Amino acid sequence: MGGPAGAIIAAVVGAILAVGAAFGIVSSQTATPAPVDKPFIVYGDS
Amino acid sequence: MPSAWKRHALLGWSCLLSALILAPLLAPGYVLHLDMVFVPQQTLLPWNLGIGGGLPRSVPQDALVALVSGPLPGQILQKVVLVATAVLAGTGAGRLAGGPRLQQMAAASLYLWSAYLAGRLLLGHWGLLWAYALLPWAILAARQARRTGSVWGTAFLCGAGALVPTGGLVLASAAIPIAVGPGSAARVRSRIAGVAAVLLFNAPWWFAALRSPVSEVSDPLGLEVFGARADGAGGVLGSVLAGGGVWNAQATLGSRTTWFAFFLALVVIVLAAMGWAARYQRYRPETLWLTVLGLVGLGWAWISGVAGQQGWAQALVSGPPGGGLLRDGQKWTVFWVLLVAVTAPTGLAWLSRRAEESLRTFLAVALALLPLAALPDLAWGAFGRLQPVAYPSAWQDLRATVAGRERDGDVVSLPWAAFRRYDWNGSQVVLDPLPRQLTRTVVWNDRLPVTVEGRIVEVGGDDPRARVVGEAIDSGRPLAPVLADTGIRWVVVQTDQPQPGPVADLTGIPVVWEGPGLQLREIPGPVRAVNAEDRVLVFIDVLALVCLLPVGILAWRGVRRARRERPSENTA
Repeated sequence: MGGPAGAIIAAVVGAILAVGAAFGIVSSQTATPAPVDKPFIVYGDS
Repeated sequence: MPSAWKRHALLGWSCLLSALILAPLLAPGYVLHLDMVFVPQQTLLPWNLGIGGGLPRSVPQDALVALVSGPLPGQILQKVVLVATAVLAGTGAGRLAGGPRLQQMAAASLYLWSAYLAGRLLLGHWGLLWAYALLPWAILAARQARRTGSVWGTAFLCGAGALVPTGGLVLASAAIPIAVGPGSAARVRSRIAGVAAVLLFNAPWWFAALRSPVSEVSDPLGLEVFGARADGAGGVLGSVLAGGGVWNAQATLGSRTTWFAFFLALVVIVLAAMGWAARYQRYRPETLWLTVLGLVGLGWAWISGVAGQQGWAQALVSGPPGGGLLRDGQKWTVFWVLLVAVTAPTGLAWLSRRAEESLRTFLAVALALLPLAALPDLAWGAFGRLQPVAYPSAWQDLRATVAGRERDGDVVSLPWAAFRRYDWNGSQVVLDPLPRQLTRTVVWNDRLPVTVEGRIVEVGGDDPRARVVGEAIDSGRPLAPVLADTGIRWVVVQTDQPQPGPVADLTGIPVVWEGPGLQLREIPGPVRAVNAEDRVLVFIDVLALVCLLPVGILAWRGVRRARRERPSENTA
């Protein structure tokens, strides 16, 4: 695999990782479960 | 790269990743999140050894914390354990993967920055994570045992990692068959001694369970509630394949829901499949055994998620003694996670074998960074979800007050619920810290309330005294005679907590001390003496602890001898 191919692979892999991580960061803000209502404190949501 | 840097690259990379995850947790204070509970100073009590309470679920973890947290403050112990866990997991996976430095660093990333570690960290299962961290080291020791015939390193690591029953089983089931199985250089006598040592080191929990008067039958509802769940794309199977799928939606990362995370997990699994044959040729018995365990664990995790309501699956959990250890099915993907982490870098090396050196290096670096891109919100204490806090001073005052009382009797924790939400802890759900905070045994509601499909179900507790107290509260009867008859003199009411269910009738139990958010009441009359002791079990526990030291010394000698004989392998 020569120079141009390597550069293209590097750019594509880098872009995929960066864009995907951005999606993960956004999801971490939106997908966090809502707090459980008091007064019953539950161990978790199964 | 200078040789000194090269030599320490794996350790440095593991430390860097650990710091990225745990740095905020190193601030002063205690991380209190779900099952993760540390207190400033924990007193050794019978229940820490599995005597007099429910089933020994956190044995000997709590006993060891109690022994260490006298000289070492609880918050220091918590930080040391968490950091050591992360660093040992990364370096262990890297060493087990072997090969060039970048391959080792990629394996460290995949194992350390994993959905499995994230889920268990957020659940607070640090005892299990300790075994997770020692698992690659135990397999390395087993590999060495096959070659040298000395099984002490394997036995020591299996013992040192057995803080909780599942941790002990994970290590023993992975390492012992490799160390003493067919083809091992160990003599028969040595194999028997190794297995006996591991049995002894695990005796604190299994012997306590055998001697416990509590029913050995696990609540069949446990599998339905604690089975694996889809926490991302690809359903339950896709989740557990990626090392996720933990049952509790409050212990998952938001990034797990993205298709990107699912896609990257598939890429890693495909790479692992490509590298499997090469690894099998080099480390045949251990790869084969880890694959068997990985597939069985993965299969059970999947079954626990999709067939948790079926009778045959519930019978496996509630029928045989100890079957309850299977109910949290996702735990058992630990072998799969390690197998994929150590095999995928080999697969990438095979795939890129004809590429230029620079591209091969780039792809190896990309694989090392891939877990961070897939789960970015594990960084910085899961984006701030894990934060240390200080206990209010009233908690220490209460401990001193209870310790200073001369009359006999145990304590009950009210309101009658297992979990708490404190304003001073950011209203995070946490297991009641009171049993670990006080110097006397605390009876607490050990029934676990969980939301399943919008309804709240309770998974049965097993402490007989808790059952009696709970029934009295539910019936609305005055609590004083019931408590006195069960050996309980003190009532701690956490007045800053919501009141689930009926309010306990505390007539005849006057307040003797009060602080912000806490109230101590005392039964003035006689209280039945409850003598929780088991000398045989204590003897076994002491024997296990004492024997761990000489086995550790023997293991260390074995490591030094192996280094002298094969220095190149040990510096790789």
